[in-house]
Amino acid sequence: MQNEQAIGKRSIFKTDTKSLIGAVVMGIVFVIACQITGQIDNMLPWGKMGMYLINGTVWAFFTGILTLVYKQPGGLIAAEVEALISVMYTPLWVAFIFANAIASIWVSLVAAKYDMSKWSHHIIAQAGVCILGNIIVSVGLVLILGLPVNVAIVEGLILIAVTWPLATIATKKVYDALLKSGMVK
Amino acid sequence: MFVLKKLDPRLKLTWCLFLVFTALVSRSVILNGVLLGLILISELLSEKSLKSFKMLSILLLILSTQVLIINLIFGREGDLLYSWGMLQIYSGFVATAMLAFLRIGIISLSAYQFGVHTDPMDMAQMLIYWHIPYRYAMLVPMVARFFPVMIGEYQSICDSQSARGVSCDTVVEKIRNLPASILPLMYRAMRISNDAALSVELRGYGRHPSRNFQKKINLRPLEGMTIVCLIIGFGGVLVKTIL
Repeated sequence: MQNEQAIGKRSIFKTDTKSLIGAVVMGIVFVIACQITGQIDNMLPWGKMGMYLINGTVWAFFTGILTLVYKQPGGLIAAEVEALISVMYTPLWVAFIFANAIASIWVSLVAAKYDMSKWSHHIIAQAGVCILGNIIVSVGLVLILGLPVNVAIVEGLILIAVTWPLATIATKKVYDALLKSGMVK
Repeated sequence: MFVLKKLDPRLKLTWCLFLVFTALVSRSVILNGVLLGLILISELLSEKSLKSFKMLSILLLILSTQVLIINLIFGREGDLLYSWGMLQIYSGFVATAMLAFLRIGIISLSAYQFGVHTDPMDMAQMLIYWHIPYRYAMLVPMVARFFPVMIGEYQSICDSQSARGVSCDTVVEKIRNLPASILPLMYRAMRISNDAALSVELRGYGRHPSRNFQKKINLRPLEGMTIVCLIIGFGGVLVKTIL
């Protein structure tokens, strides 16, 4: 009931200059984090099979936390900055454009409905990010990289199983810390 | 003389999208090979070398090798060539991996070519031309402005952490010390974005609905005709693939 009353009070939009520029700069941090974790994954056995587990966790965490902090269109801008700069190191940038956009919009919708104070809110938010994002990336793996469908499905399921809990824990911890510090109101 | 940097950004974007969508739609190895060749020729004609593609090409070769191995082990297209226990190798893996290699090359190199040879201010003007408010369109040059700044900040954080004994040399160290390098970068990014937001606001960012540019983009008739030809060409490929 309390959550239902709050619908409409919480806006998903934040269009001030600080949010826009913050989203751009944090989008670049998002790119750097994804590049580092991508390199780490590449050195590990699962990365050689195309399963970027650490990279996927960091991607889901950043998509979630940046949308919660900068709302829209900041979250979308940060996510698309990552997708467009990924042109420099992966052909999956086409899939990332759609995956990042849908994941960011999903987090905004969840944040508009719930106050993001409970674990369940973050679990729902990251469920959408990890499941929708990985479905789109799996389609990209089949269409762009030409991987067999069964391999793409298995990789997607493993990625969802690993990234969902890890990204949820990371997002909840960091979001609570940001609330405590007063950076997010 | 043909110089990619001097072309209108709308033509370059159409060329990039034409290549990407054609590569995704078409299953012809010959057509994909021709498109990849066109990208390389246009780069050679404009820049007289393929130096800008060097790093990306190495990454794409590594990725293509991974795709080849995955298709070799898990691919089930074509006739059975070899079987040993659970391992089964089918004849279709070479064709699938070859098509994937060409597709990966076209999608990556065309987008990279567009990004490298298009001025961020031209991209901003292109977005303004499409009626996107300049407060949002100007974020493209801001990405180009802040990218090297943030890379420099990350390098300085890594150097500082190494001096404190938190090095990032091996894989284990990189994983263990990831928060030690990324969290300070996030704090610095927030500080930089606060300063930049205040700075641009004081200079009148968004005060007026439009703004002037020193160098304006201008679509010439030949460029417009080329855009139309590219759209028709993609339509032809689409129809041929469906039929």
